[in-house]
Amino acid sequence: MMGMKIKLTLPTLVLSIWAATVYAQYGPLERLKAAIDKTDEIIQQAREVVAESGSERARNQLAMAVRLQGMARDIIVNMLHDLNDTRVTQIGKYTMSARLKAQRAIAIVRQEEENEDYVRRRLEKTDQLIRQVSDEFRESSPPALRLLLDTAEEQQQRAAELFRNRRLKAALQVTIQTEKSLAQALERRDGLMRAQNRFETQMDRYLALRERIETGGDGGSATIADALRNAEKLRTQADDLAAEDKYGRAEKVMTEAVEMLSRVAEQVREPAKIKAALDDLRTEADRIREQVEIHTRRDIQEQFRTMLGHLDKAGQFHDRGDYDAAAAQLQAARQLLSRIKRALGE
Amino acid sequence: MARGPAHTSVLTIVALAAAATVGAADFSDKHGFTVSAGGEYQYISQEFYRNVVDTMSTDIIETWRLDTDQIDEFILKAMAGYNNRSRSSHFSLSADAETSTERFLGRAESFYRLGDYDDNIGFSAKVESKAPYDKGNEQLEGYNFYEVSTKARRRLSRIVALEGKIGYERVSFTDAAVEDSVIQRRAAFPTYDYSVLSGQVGGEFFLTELGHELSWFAAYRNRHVPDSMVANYDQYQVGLEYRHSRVSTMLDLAGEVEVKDYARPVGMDDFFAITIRGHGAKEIGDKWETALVLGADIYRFDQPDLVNRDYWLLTGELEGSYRISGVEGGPLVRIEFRDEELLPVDTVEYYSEAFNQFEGGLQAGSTSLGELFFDVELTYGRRNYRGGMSLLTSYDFVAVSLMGNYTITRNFSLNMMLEGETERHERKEDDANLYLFSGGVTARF
Repeated sequence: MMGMKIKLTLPTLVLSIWAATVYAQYGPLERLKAAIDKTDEIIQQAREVVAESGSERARNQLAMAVRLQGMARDIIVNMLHDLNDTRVTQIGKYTMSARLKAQRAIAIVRQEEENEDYVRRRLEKTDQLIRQVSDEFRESSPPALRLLLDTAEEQQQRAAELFRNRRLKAALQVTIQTEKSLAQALERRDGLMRAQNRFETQMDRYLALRERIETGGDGGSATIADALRNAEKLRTQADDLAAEDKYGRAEKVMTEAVEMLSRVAEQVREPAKIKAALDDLRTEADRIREQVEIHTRRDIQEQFRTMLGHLDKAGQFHDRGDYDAAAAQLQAARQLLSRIKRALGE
Repeated sequence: MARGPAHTSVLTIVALAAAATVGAADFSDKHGFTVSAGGEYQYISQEFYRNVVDTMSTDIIETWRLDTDQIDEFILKAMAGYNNRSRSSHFSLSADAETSTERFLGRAESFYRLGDYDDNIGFSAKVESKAPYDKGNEQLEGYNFYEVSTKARRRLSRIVALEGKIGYERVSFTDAAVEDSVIQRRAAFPTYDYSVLSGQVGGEFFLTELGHELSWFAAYRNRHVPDSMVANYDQYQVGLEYRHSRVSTMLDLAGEVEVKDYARPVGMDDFFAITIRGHGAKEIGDKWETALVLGADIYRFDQPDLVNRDYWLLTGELEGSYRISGVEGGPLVRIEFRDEELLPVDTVEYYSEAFNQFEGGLQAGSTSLGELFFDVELTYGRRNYRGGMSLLTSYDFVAVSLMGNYTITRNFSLNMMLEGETERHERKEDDANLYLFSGGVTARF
């Protein structure tokens, strides 16, 4: 336990000056009545806001205000017929101290961390964020992120419970922490998506290069066959990493595989079979067109349209004799087609 | 004599035993039954100085003693749930219970959505009940909480979606000693039961190919307090948000207007508020990322008074992060400026809680999505109340926060949260400390 005497602060000084000014202007009883009524009014205002907040610090200040005001009234009631200057001064001191305490109670509650409205709004904001991300996370996110969401939901329940038990400052800290956790989770998710994009870009490059090498007709040479096997091993390794959502590492391995194939591709003649591959893919696209059009997922239909765009561009590049670009477009189309077929259950 | 929810522990033990015998699922399950059980230690401590006035003397002699409002609990938890999700529907049902030497809390939730993510109608219901507890020298309130809501969403085209929601919630407090809707908690400070009816409509515009998204909402909320008519209010909100994201940049801008109308005479406590938020992030090279968050709140009260002053609050945060070996971290700076208008009534009311606040520190977090996820922040700051007319005193503060998850196996995980904030004021009796710790283990099957 620690104890200390109150120090003279600016607010108490202001009150003393104010009290002296009022005292000089009116008669003692009028002055007292006005001062006590004003304090009553402020205590009543404090009562309402402190009840909503539940702040222990504010409750304590208000309780002291009520007590001091009670002491002022006791003197008036008990000594109404014997109010000398000393007692009037004493009453004034009690009621002004009571007023200061009630005002301090209000000032405490007006701080954001003790304000019921503010804390409620922060809780609602976090609730909204939880709802916003929960469907998405539960549908398609790594277990670590789903676990984070579960933890965030539990923390938010704890914050709501603290709020209902009027521990506003604690509730605010917990809900802010929960919101931060979720924001971090969203950032991680975005980072994951960026790494996934980079991985998929490398995968597209890899497949385009492989297509170019295979359609170039030199796949039978021992050196190239070895290189293709080694690159394929790296690709499998990268695929496994991606399946575990380790896209950062998957991207590095894929980059290595792409570099390996790039070196091989330089040794391979320009492709002669791109046109045949293009025709095959067009036939395959025509075969599944109807299934795609009646499918409920709009993203599948969008992917299908994108795939057709790649095929058109592949045809244009082929006609212009730009076989590298044609092979890249062809492989992008092939990859999308394979995703679409998986989504269709083929 | 203290009464506790000891009898309810039996229920939880039964639930734990049941949980241990039911078979196979893990954190990644989307369908079927899930049961989980765990323990959590929770410690919350708010320290502040309590004021005591000596009434035996003719002079006012005040003393202050350090007091603590504390929660120190070991909570056992059990949950059972069923989840069934398909492309065209989603149904989930869960029930969970928590118990400790000072609590029993039960909760049940259900959710049903018919339709896919874009076109659907959903219903949800939640019930939560916490038993009151008599600690002997202090009574902890219990409460019953009920919430029902329905929500519908319709994708009108590739770029436009609309949604609407109606909800109702009710909280009634219960006390270990008093069976009444108005609880006389700690003498003269009542806690009121209340109910809230809310409705919201909103829409989204997607220009996803260009990386833009725009959304809006309009909401209404009515709070009804049976035992205190003046605590009733109507609240109206409209908001607009713009999001833009690219591979290495992100921008989020949001604005909201709020009007709150209390059932009180002459517009007392009624206000009009504008809130604006902006958040931008950009990757710089492979390793660095910066983020900037700016905000502004403007409040205008119909009848400014001692409690409610017109004010504006500006906030800003700048953060830099460097990525290395699965961890990213760096410096952060926060600022807050609050200004409020004084009341031209009389000298007594010329108090103002306008302040400048500066905070700086370090933050770090894991970037990988492996078994360990953590986020930590340590800051030092100062709040200066301006103008010398504040009832509150300027102070320095140190804050630390840590949150982390560790997945031990597919079925077991650990989680931890730590928050600490200590305020050192110019007047010692205004010093305050807040400590929060929560750590637990969960098993899911």
